[in-house]
Order: sequence, then structure tokens, then C-alpha cells
Amino acid sequence: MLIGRKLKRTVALALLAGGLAVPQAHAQTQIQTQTQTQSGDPVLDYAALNAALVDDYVLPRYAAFAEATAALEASLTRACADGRADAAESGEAYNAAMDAWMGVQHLRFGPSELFLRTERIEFWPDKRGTVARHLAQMLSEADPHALETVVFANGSVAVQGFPALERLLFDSDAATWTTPFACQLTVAIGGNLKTIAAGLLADWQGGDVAYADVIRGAAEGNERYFDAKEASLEFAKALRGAILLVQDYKLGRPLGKEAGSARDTRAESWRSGRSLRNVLLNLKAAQALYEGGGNGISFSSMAREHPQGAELDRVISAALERLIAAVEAQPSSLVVALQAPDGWAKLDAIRVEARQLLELMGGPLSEVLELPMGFNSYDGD
Amino acid sequence: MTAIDRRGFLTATAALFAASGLPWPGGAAAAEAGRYFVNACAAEDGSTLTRIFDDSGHVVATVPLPGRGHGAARRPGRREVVAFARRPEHFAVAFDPLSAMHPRRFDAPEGRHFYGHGVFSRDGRWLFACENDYDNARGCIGVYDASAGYRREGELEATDIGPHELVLLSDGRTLAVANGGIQTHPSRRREKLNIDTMQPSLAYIDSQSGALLEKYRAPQAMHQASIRHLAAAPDDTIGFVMQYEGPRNNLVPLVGFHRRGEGALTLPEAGEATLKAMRQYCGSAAMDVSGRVLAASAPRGGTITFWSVAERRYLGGLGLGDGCGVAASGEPGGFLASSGYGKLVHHNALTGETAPLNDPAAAPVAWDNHMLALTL
Repeated sequence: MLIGRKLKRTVALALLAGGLAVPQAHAQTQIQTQTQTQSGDPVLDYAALNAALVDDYVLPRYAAFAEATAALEASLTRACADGRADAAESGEAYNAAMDAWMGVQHLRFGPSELFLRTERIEFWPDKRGTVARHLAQMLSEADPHALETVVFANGSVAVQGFPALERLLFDSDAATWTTPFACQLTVAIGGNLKTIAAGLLADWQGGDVAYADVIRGAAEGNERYFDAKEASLEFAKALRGAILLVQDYKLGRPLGKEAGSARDTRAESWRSGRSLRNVLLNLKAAQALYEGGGNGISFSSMAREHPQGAELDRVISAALERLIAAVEAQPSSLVVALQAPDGWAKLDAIRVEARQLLELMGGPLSEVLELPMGFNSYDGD
Repeated sequence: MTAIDRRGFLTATAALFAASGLPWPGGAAAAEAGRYFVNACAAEDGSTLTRIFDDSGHVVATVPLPGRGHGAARRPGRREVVAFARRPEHFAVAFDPLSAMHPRRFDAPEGRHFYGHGVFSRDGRWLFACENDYDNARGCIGVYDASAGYRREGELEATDIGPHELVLLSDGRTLAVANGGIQTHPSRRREKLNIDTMQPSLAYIDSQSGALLEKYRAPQAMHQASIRHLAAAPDDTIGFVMQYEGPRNNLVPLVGFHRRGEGALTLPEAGEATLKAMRQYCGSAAMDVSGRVLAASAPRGGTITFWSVAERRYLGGLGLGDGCGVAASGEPGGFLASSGYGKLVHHNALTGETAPLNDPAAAPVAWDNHMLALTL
């Protein structure tokens, strides 16, 4: 077990016994505000954290995604010169774009919520086989009009992004899929991804949305954020969300409850053999979100400076490190990983560790940072 | 009813139980007559439960639930509690709160899901449960016959979208319903579909005829304040609490009062600091045993606020990170509160005294939104 249960309890108990115990509040006294913490607690500088995350995390990652999707479109366009696209020619560009996507997939707020961008980039999980159905329909109709930029972007989300492209590049045994129209479809997907990624970056940087400014301006309160703390909570939820995505969807769904019920085709990107590479990159993105860049302020530094947070920070950092090492030791393909005799058990162990990390985030880390990612306030009712 | 009257009533109820011949469970600790609390929770391994504990925090029973629980209702005249699923799930579980033996599951019918709250008729026969008729974007109140194994016998019109919590008034007949106004559909999970046009209300409904007796809305400028939870004082003053869906930099009142016959809802001023501390979101409401104090929890702000019912004004707050569940303890002004971080606290809003409750034997859990108090 990566995170010792005993250690976790110790951390939790220390929190209960320490400065976070329920304050003695009198009925007539003023409620403490979020920054006026009890004596000895450091002031949690959410505004500084937000600024650092926007500049050092969000913007560079969306810039990388925009660049990688532009390169993908260029590669697909080149490959299609002979009317055939395949993984040999464009697989590398596809993988680079997917890598960049895995670095921002968990940022499900702000510009990514607009125009169904997240769903259009990657319609997954696809529990009802919609991608296959809509893709087959589009290929059989072979209507060039459907590939026109605006028509395509307003059509079925299931054929607009990575899952459809993956099928066209990596699962194109069927002769019907290696047609000139199919090739033009890959170019349309590439162009669509490039447009979405450019839109994401532009909406963070400026324009009407100017989401970087929305986050930076949260300290004064705006339509989106109550205050800087609420904007920090958005990042905290994205941090937990990245681990939850790995634990629940990317490992939980394909692994099932026992080895006998594993279904490798439920994994993300199984056709391109990169399901566990996705997991690895998600975990690295979570690690970077937690630890920040260099000496700047981060969730990690804020936890570390808290009287009860140093040990917790050590445990969480170590857990992230070990999770990443455990996934790195696996092949990129979950299908291949499951073929090993102890493959299921090893992946299940990773899933269990991820869940324990989630518990630390929802409990003690939320409490130390005063950012409830966990339960009542996280999902409300 | 004054506090003393009420206590007398409760004692009489306990005596009735003793006379009813209902078997007390075998466990010695559980056989004590007294005040108990029911709160759904999630264990460390992710399993979903509801726990019953006494006023010292000692756990007397644990009931596994098929999914996350939400509110609970006590069946009068019986040692029975119904725990509801959190929306958009369908299950409810009836059980003996002291033994947790033989829990009986029943479900909302096809096309409906529970919102997570319900209340029994005074005779303990009928259970009224807030439900979503989601394909028709219509709120309703399912009526279940507890004496027939919780067979669903019909439904009442909630008269607005999103009936979330309801209470039975002292006439034993009138239901006060918090219609949250937010349209959701299970196919879109918990996504809010009508934030721009939502119209929450406080509705008084005749539980026997289903007739709408009176209905009130906050001023139109506050139509995005979802009236979500409520509690009734013995004199039928309703304290209700809201969740604001509008612009984040627009501070609005989150707590209100109303008593039948009054022409409008009262929305007391709370002051900017208090509203900021509540962060636009109240999670649950409870009235103390005397009916003098309303508790309104604000889990996003990590604070429980207390309000004078008679004066309809803000009294003060208690810091409790992710604190949401709140229920009347046995003493005037007293409440038990629970938190997502696993804490149980007793606080008296009149004396200002706070005491954490710790049962060393209890495995740590994350307490879910609501706590129900009952006297056995």
C-alpha cells in the first residue's frame, strides 16, 4: 500500500487535535473570515496562488495544446495528399496532440465549458457506442458538405475529436475506412481540434471571455467568483478531478471489480495503445498542479506552511511520486498490461492508491487549505 | 407550544412507546430511551451508510445504504426511520433506528426520483416524499402507505419545479414545501437546466386534498435564490434557507421566515460580512426544541449561522469546516452539527457554548448533508 493507512490516520488525528479544532464561537461574536484564521495559522494567499497557476500552469499548457493540434492538422493534411491517412504517417502527431490534451483534460471550467469544447475534443466515455455509430453513418453518406468547417463543428460531437480520429488512424482495417473521404474526415477533425484549442487559448488570454483576468480579478469578486478563495477552489477541484478521472474512469471502468470482469475496451484510447500513457500524463499534470513551478506558491507550499500541513504535504507528494512511478513501470497500453499474469492486480493496486490519495485530498488537504473539495460543499444539494 | 409543553409531550410519547409493547432490541446500550440523531455518511472505503448516534456522539446503529443518502424522516408512533437517497437516485430505506435490523428498501417509481426529503403524516401511516417527475419537468410529492409496505398510493402537485424539503405543520394536515425551482433531468445528472428562468417558491399544500393553500415567492430580483430547505417552529413559523445561483458578486439574503397569513416572506438583513461568510449557499435548516432559534448551515463558508425566530434576525455563527448537517439537541438553543470532515459538535446558540463530540469507537466517516433528531 503506497499510502500507509496508519500514517493517514495519524495525519487526520493531528488535524483533529490541532488548531483546526472547532473554535469557541460565541453567539454574538463575529464569524471568522477565511483569511483571518486562528492564531498561529498562516494567511492563505489564494490570490497569489491563482495568479501563479494561471501564468505558470494554465496558459503554457493551453499554448502547448494549441501548438500540438496545429501540428496534427498539418500532418493530416500532408498525409492526405495521396488520399490515405494512417498511423504510420500521422501517429506521432496524433500522440503529441493527445499528450498535450492529457495535460489540460482535467481543467473543466471556464473556456473549456463553452461551446461543448470538452465533449467535442474527446467524446468519452462513450457508453453507448455513439462514436462508432455516427462515424459509420458519416462514412457511408460521404457527404463533402458535412466536412465544411462550420457544418462539421455544429454536427455530432462524437465524430469531431480524438476518439473518431483514433479509429480512423489506428482501427482502419476495414477498406471502407481508407477512402479519400475518410482521409478528408481526418483533416476535418484535425482542423476542428486546432480551432477548438486555439479558441481555448484565446479565451484564456483575452477577448470577451478573458478568463485569466476573471481568475486574477476574483479577489475583488466578479460574476464568476465570489472571491479569490473560490477561484482557488476551482483549481483544487481540478486537482482532485484529475485523480478521480484516473481512479474512477480510466482504471475503474476497464478493470471492473475483479480480474474476471475486466473489459480492456472500456479503457480510454485503447486502440492507439496509450491508455496508461494517458493515466501517466494525467498524474503528472496533477503533480504539477499540486507542486507548482519551482519556488513559487503552490497548493503544496501552502499546505507545508500550515502548522498541521507539513506531514500531510510530504505524504501527498510521496503518493503522487509513487503513483507516477507505478504507472511508468507499466506498458503504455492497458490492453497489453492486462495480459501480464499479475497485470490486473498491479493496475488494481494503482487504482486503490489513487482512491486513498483522493481521500487525503477530500479530507485533510481540503481542511488545511480551507478549500473543501470533498463532500457537502463540493457537490451541494 | 412552549418548550416545557413540548418536553412534556415528548415524555408522553416515550411513555406511549413503552406501553405499545414494541420490543426493545437486545443490545443494552441501544435500549435507552432518549434523543437520537440520524445522519447519512460515507465511510473511508467509500461505502455509503446512515448512522444513528446519541447526544454524546456514541454510535448505536449503522445501516448500509445502496448509494449516498440525504435526508431522513421519522415515522410517528413507531420506532422507524426512512432514509432517502440523494438525488437523482430512487431508493429509500426504512429501518429501526436502534437495532438497524431488517432494513426495508422501497423505490420511487419509474419516471420519478426522490429529491432526498420526506415527512410522515401524524398517524405514521402516510409518507410524503419530494419527487422529480423529470420527463415533465414537474415537481410532485409522492404519497406512500407505510402500513402497506410503502406502497405508492398517489401523488400531490408540488405546484413548482424542484420540491426539495417539506415539513408538516402543527395542524397535522398542512405541508410547507420548499420548491427549489431548479430543473434537472437524470440523463444530465445534476446539471441545472433553467437557471435563467427558475422561480422558487414556498408553498402550503393540504396533504389530504392536495389543494394549494398559499404560495409565496421572494421578490423577482431574487428569483435565482433557490428555496431549498426549511424547518418549522412549534408556532408554525417557517425558517427557510436558500442557495443563490445568480452572479457571484451579488450578495443576497439566504435565510427567510414566514408564517401562514403573513403577506410576504421576511428576508432579514444579515450584514455583508455574514453574507460573505455564507458564500451564497445554505445546506440545511433546523429549528431548536424551543422554536426560538433557527440554525442555517453554510458548508461552503464553513459556518453554521443562528437566527432568532421571534425577532427574525441574525444571532451569530459557528465555524465548522464543511459543516452541513444540523439538528436540534434536547436543550433550548442547542444543536448538533456534523461535517464532511467527520466532526460532530454540540453548540448552544443561546449560551455560546461549543463542545466537540467524540466517540473513540466510531470509525471516521464523512457526514453527509442532513441530520435528523428524534426522541425515542
